[in-house]
Amino acid sequence: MNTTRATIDVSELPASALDHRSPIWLGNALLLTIETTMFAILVATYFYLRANFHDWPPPQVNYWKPNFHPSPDAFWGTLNLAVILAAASFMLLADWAALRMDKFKVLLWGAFTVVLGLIAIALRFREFRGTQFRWDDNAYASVVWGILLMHLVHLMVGVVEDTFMFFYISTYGMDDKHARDVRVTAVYWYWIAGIWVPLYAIIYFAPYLLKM
Amino acid sequence: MRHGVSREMVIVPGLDANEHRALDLTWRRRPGLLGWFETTNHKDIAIRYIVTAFIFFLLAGVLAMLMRIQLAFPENHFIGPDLYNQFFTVHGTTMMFLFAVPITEAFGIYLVPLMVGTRNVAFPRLNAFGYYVYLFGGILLYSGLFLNIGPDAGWFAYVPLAGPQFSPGKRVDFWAQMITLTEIAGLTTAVEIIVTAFKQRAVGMSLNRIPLFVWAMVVTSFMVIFAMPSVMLASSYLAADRLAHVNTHFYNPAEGGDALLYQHIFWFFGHPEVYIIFIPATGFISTIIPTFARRRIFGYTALVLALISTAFIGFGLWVHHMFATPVPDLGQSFFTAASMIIAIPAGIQIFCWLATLRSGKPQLKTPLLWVGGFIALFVFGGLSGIMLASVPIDLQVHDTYFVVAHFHYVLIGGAVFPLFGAFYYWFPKWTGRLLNESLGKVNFWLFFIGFNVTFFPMHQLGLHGMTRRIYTYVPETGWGHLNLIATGGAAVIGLSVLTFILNVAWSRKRGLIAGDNPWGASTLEWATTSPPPSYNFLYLPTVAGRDALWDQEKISPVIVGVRADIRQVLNTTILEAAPDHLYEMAGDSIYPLVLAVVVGATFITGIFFSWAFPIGAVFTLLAFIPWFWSGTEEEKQHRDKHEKTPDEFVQATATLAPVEPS
Repeated sequence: MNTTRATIDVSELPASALDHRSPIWLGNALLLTIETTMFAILVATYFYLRANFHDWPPPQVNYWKPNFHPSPDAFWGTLNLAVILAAASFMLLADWAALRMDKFKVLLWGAFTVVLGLIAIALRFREFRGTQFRWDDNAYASVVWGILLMHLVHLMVGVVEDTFMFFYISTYGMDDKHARDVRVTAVYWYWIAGIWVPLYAIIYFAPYLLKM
Repeated sequence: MRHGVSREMVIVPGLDANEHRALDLTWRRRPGLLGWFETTNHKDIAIRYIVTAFIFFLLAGVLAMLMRIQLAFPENHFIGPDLYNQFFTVHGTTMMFLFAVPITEAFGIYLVPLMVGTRNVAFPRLNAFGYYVYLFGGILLYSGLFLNIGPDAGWFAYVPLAGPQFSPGKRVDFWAQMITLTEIAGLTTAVEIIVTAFKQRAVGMSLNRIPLFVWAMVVTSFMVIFAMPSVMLASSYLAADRLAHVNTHFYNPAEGGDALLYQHIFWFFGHPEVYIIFIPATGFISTIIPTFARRRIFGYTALVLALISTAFIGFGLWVHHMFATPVPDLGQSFFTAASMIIAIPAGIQIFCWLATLRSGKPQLKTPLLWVGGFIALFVFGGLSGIMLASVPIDLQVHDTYFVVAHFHYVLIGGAVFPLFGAFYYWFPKWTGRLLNESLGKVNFWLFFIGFNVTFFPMHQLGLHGMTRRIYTYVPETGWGHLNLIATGGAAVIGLSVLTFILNVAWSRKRGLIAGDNPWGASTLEWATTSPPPSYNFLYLPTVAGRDALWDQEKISPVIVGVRADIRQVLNTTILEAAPDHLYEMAGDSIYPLVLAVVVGATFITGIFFSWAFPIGAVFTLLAFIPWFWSGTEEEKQHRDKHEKTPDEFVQATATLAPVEPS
């Protein structure tokens, strides 16, 4: 009793997609939307609290001599911005290499990203000192430390994720799935660097623009 | 469509049985206790979510009963002020964070993959992780309450009352970390639902053919993504302000912090939250009404646009919760206007539903009865909402029982009634048996009458000046009679919920056998058995119209060529749902649970020690490593190629070979 049934055969379709068509790419983009919202609210907090202060940043009077204009140290901040942008640029090279399934280049550029990421993490601790406040000095210090810290957490996650992924690829070689993972992680790095540009500008330069 | 060529497959006896066996081997969970904890099947997780959320609903209901007993008579001494504070805080918190949002998301987790015709949610492990984290959040809140150190600063924990100065001890911290844990769960669910609905739809289910419930879940999920980070920050600032050795000053006015900042970022979440609860309920209604009106929904496009505009406007209303704070006049006018504008999409939806009912042939089964209750109560609650949106009235009745009456009408009327309708509607899909109709009608009428007897008098009490959150009042106020009536009504609601539990317990074993599609409904979840097999569909379906099953051609093509020996699904394009590529999902794993334990332990110990966070972060990363390492079968094969000799490799993959049709 054989019968027939209309079918659509999809067995010839590729078993993965390396770009935005992949579910993991979309999931990652949505995750970054969540994180962007979080930073947007941190920024809103920053400007909301600014209205409670006459001077922004407020004078640092815990020490002698008091510092009446304790602006955060833009040198370390700018240096770190350059490092973070460089790390993301190397990730871009790794991203392109992943498209060509070039294991050697992925690992080479990836190693640069990891090393620069580690440098960025170290420099971030210098940036904390550069704020000239402890987080519990006042509300200004709390929010600035909050922004620096939340971004640091993302940097660390990016570095650990990269290290783990590149270790995997170096041991077992490139396949479609890991080429896609490299590309998705690259998007994460573009976001880490991209989001830091406005946050950096706010932390280091908003005090000059917000003089009352 | 790249591979859209339909062709014919000769069905020989035994082919379907073979396919079934292969799919079952691949998708079923491992037997035994470990398998129970490892499962990442969306239906297993969703049922756990629903049962857990319902238990929290019962617990919060018991708290409500106890509060009503306390308020039944003036100067009652049934429970004291401290316990009363804990009760109303935990009641509100539970209903918002542990019941209303999780249970509708759970319906989404169960139904979205079935309705779009796929085998599982896009990220099954993340889904399991979300459930366990939510569970730990709930356990945390109730361990506080049972130890008599439950949070007591209201479900919104306003500072300065909730700050370190006026709420010493750890009570509020239980609340703050519960928020973090449950919102992590909410966010993971939102991401999965969007990706599942955008990437895994049945071939032919273009964007303008998505079932309205799926639309509702997608819109809700986007709202979650933009709203929940806000409350996580609000509660994290609060926890950081309170935690010894951290002591930030976000809300401390003495150091330039701001108590109103808390209200802003809390309500920037809190108002959208109302729609996060309400929009899935509209999805239930838009699904139930066409089924029982026996016609297609009236105004599909208008309904979808109403959902989306509700989501947008919903983010522009939050200050109407703050009219009693010093908000500039212009701001007040803006938020009043926005609060009134949102009545327009709500009205459009109501009229579309009424038009569908009016022009159809309604069958008054229990699910439709609950929808009728919804329309009556929600319109009523909406009217008092319009009143509250106007600043002068709001100032007059702010923090009185008028507000309590209003939000119970919109939340219970707007979300709990549709939810009960949804229980009656989808219970046969979950269990294979129908709930009892007569008990269902008793359940409905007791709830409807009890609800109105409880909450209608509260409007009057509010206008008479009875304020919220007071544990007792003196006889001279004259509030005694109305309060006694309200308590009587609450008892009737309690009876109604007991009827429901009885109905579920009885029908699970003895209810009528449902069959695949007992209601003659149009969505794809009814195209498979009740309950569905672990892999949902034997062959992935295709769709030829908006109402999938009603538009089905005599011989609708099915999808073949998706591998049955690994957990593979078909990805389609976002707009047209044309076949795009295949995608292998991660298998079952214990690590979502392990990670949830680590994350839960981190936030719970973080209540007491600030070092818990960096230490917990390290353990979190450690738990991630095996999670990713134990990825998909394809990955394992890829690794094996590197590690094993060719002979060993052939042996290892032999068990994975596709089952040949006999």
